[in-house]
Amino acid sequence: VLRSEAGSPVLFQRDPTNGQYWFNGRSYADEASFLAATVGATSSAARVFGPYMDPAGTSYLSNGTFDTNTTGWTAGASGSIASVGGECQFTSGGNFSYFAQALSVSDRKRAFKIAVTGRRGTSTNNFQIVGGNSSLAGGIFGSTQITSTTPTEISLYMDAIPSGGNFAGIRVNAAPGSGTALFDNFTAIECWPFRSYPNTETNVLVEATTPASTPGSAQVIWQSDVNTERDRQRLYYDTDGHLKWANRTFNVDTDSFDLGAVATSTAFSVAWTYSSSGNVIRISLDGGVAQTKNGVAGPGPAFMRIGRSFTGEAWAGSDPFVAVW
Amino acid sequence: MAASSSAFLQYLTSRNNPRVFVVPGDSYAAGAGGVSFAASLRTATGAVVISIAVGSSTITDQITQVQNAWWARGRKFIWWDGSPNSYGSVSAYLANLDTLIAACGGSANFGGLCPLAMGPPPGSVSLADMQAIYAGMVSRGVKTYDEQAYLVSLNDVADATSTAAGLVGPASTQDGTHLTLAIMDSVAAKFETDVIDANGW
Repeated sequence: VLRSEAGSPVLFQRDPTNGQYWFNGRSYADEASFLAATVGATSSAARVFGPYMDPAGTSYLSNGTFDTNTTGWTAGASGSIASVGGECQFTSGGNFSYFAQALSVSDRKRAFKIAVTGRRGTSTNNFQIVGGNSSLAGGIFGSTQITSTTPTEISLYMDAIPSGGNFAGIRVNAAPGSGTALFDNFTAIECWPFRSYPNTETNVLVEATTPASTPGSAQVIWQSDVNTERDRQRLYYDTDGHLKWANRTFNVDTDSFDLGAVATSTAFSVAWTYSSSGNVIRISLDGGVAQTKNGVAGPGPAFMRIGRSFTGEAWAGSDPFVAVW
Repeated sequence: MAASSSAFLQYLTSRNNPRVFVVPGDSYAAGAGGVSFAASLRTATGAVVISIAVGSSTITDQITQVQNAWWARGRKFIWWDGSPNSYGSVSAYLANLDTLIAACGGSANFGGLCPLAMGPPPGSVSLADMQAIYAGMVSRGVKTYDEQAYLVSLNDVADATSTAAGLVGPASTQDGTHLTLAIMDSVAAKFETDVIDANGW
């Protein structure tokens, strides 16, 4: 098994060519048992890992049970909140009324599952869970909404980005936007692609062979994300035949590396290190001197994908060797 | 886990490549003014060249460089302590060289260049001492060539006094100590033909 620079075995190593699988100090006889251990799953030819949540994990939101009050929560855009019967009664005053609270995190590169149970009261609106800015006008929007009087849990994954993007809350998502709804058990539990995923000091090695033809659209070899393309890091093979790596936050590719041309049907090896403490990315292709970027503020990952992105962008090259530590 | 160094990333992405050279040393190897033996060697050979060298390091520091690079074991090492920082004596230097060679897995895997005696006269360090170190390198089986003599042959006519004294002339340097890019490229190109090719590396 591969070793880190300090000489310790890597955390995660998937070597499908040789049928060797390693995770957290032990080897696995086959990929099925490896996937079971890593919270991984197949997705056609790709593999998706995550999210792993610590069973003892505690919420990064305070007073999510609203037992006696709504302390810690703020309503806006003509909305108001009150504790009623041990729930948060949200009275919406129009479309995009909201209530929200900032997660108690001060650093980046962390991801969370935010979840709440809700039901309509007098309102006929749809209510959407959001992770984003203080007014929930920008962020990651949940796909499942509260649309009935039956208590339903809704959730999404978000990377909490202090100074503008670490609020979790509920907003009205359909006119006319009046009436009440009730919410309870609002939590934000930290999660990772797999147990012990090194989200603050991430080292990754990817080895594979490029496909037989230059892609017509970008093909993703490796990606970490929060179940959206808004915040992610990815290694991909682009339409110009170059291997590239990109860091995206708030839907903007903030730091990108063009690693250079790699011919079709050609073996390659890419390794990178991301240090959130130093906000540095270093990356090397095929023994080349590492390229470096400083001041990189990366998003937190809840998922790691091998051979695809969140939306697809399937990799047509060989099944990659991937090590993470 | 901590973030990986650039050298370690290079190792990872060349771990299946049989032709990799690892370069310990001082600023001559690591780089000064954008000029490094490692980069010139990379250009000359087309091989993967991984620098673990650090500017201002002593030969004992360079032993530590190699000892810390556990991942480089089994690779070919090409060392250059061009300007021997904290130099003491020939005997002390060669004793450290023995330790360095052992750390690199023996002389079969070990090539390099002798520290330079730079002009103008009387020189940065004793030419006689550097020649004794070079002789010690040869007797230990270090894969090398006499780059002191080669560089003196490249001296500019303006450095006649250095040439006469057998020292590398200031015109070959950026700053009186570190070589210019053209001179460094020449040193590396000769290392490629006289050492790497000659030894089938």
